[in-house]
Amino acid sequence: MNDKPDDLESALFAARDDVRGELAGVSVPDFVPNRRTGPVAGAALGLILLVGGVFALSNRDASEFVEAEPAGTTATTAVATTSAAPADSEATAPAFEPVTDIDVRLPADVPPPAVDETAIDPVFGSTSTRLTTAESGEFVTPVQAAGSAFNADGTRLLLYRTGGGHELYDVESKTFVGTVPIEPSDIEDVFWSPTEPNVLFYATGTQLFQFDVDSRVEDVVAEFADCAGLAMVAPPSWDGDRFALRCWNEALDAEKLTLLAYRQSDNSVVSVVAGDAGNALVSPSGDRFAFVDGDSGLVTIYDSTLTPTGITVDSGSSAAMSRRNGRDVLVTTGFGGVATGSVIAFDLETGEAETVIGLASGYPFPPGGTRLGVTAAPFVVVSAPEISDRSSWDVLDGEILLVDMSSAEAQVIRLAHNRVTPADEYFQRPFAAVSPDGTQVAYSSDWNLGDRANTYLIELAK
Amino acid sequence: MRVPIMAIAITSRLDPQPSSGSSIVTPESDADSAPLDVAGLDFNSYYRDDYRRLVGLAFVLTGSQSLAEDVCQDALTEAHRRWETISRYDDPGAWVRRVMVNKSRSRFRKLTSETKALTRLGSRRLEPIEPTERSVEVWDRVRELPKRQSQAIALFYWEDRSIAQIAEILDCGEETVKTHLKRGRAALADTLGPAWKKGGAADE
Repeated sequence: MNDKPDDLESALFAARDDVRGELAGVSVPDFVPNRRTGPVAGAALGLILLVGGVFALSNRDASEFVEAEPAGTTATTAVATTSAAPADSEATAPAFEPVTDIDVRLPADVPPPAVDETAIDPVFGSTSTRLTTAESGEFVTPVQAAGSAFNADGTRLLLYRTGGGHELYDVESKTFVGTVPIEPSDIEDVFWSPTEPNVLFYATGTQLFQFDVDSRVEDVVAEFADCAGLAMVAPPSWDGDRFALRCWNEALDAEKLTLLAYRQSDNSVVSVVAGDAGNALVSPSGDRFAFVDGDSGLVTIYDSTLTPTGITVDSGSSAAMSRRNGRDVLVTTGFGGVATGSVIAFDLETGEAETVIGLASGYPFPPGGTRLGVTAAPFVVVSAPEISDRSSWDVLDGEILLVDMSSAEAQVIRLAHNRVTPADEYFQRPFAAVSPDGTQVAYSSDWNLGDRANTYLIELAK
Repeated sequence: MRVPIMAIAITSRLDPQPSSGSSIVTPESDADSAPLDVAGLDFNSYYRDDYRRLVGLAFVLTGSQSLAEDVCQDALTEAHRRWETISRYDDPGAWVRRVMVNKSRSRFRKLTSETKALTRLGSRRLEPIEPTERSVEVWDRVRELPKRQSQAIALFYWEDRSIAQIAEILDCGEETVKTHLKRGRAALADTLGPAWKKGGAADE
């Protein structure tokens, strides 16, 4: 009889008892909790640290999908001109080298990782860690229509589970923290404070609320008694002081929406009748407000007193606010008109358009379903689902890209294939979000399985 | 058209709601497994009762005392922040271990742990853990396994955790845990076997 297992058991228990014996004599120090780290400053730092980063590689265990037998590694190298990660799951991952070219790169087949496990994108070299467990028919996605699912210091992630609600995750430990019992006017209209890492803002009814995820206390920030259907559809200014809201104010106009510019520091508000339907945004500096007409896509720019500046922008589709080379800009995806591209930046002072990713900068026509994610820092993350016809595959299809908007020449990095199967289901989208220091990107994906979506985390060097 | 400032209401405060969605539930445990019963304890009491076991688990997983103290400190800080919620779980220690297991995997952490640990030690005298060479070899071989296998082995042998408890901590199925243990043992038997036969119990 082979007695190795018995000997092995003995060896393991003996090794255990040995270490326990050593620890028995160790005194227990007084507990002093670590201090939270503050928001990381410096947009350029995040991009600089991207180059030469080192990533941990762990075995790919697809046991969530194949119960009895954890899957082995079957990644293959796609057509690419830059180096790709090795397929051997036990090997050390090579340093991440950002892909910045505009070559067509088809996705490689990569087994879906189990929760807490990682998968390397062989084409782009990035590593995605799966954070969540979605049941069949469930979609767990980063939530944010026009902001970031990451909090102010990048330590927390706000997700939404269809049929469930908002969920909070700790980014560093990659663990579920708990549900978030809030009821915003729309599930996507919840925004992290850009300055307080534990505070969420949202509106509902006639009130603007804040929710502290640590104390789990909800406070009314302000009430607008004459407003019906108050909505906050974009994050506040980057100092956390100014908010762009919209509501129906029958006293002003029963037919059109009212745009509100609210300043928290002195509890002041200015309002103006804006349009039939649309979204309200405030610029990072708080000096400019915008109303995006829901029908035409035309964006009217106001100053902080809600006086029209005379600048209008043809946004084309959903717009968000960012900064470009130190200036407030409206970023949008343009499908024609002034500029065509996945990321078009409109200067809010001059109205001038810059093609950051688009035809003018060598990229193809923006894919359908393109979404932009912004944060309280000059980073923009771009994502679009895959297309069904691989023979028509082009740059941007099924990809996640990160844009550093801080310098004169915007830096664009192609991060990963998102493996999101095109579908009519609204939640089957990448919903990519970027952290304020630009070193983490979260996205949702069905991993081409179609029946559910989980959230994944790409971590770049810190 | 602009309008004057609108009425702003005073703030109000709602009662804090107890947390929901507890994800750690202690399954029925094997007779020989003995996780610490910490549910309902105050944090300091829990900390003092579980500290050595946590550091030991982290030491087994990382091979470095400073790194072990570092991941423990981080995991315990997380637990401390959420203790009101976690203390209501059936097995709060399992939550802490899940966090610690995840934190121990970070390669980047290894680059900074030494400095952080020394800073944290400050005036505290370092009490080194010095297991025998044989024990070091055994745990080195365990750490060389694929991550999930090494974690399952560590939780089973160091922690005396049951299959169900390990599944909860690693957030995977019980069959997966059994597979990890089976493969882990097989790999260890291969790597330790020749050395074991050379200088171990077979010769005694």
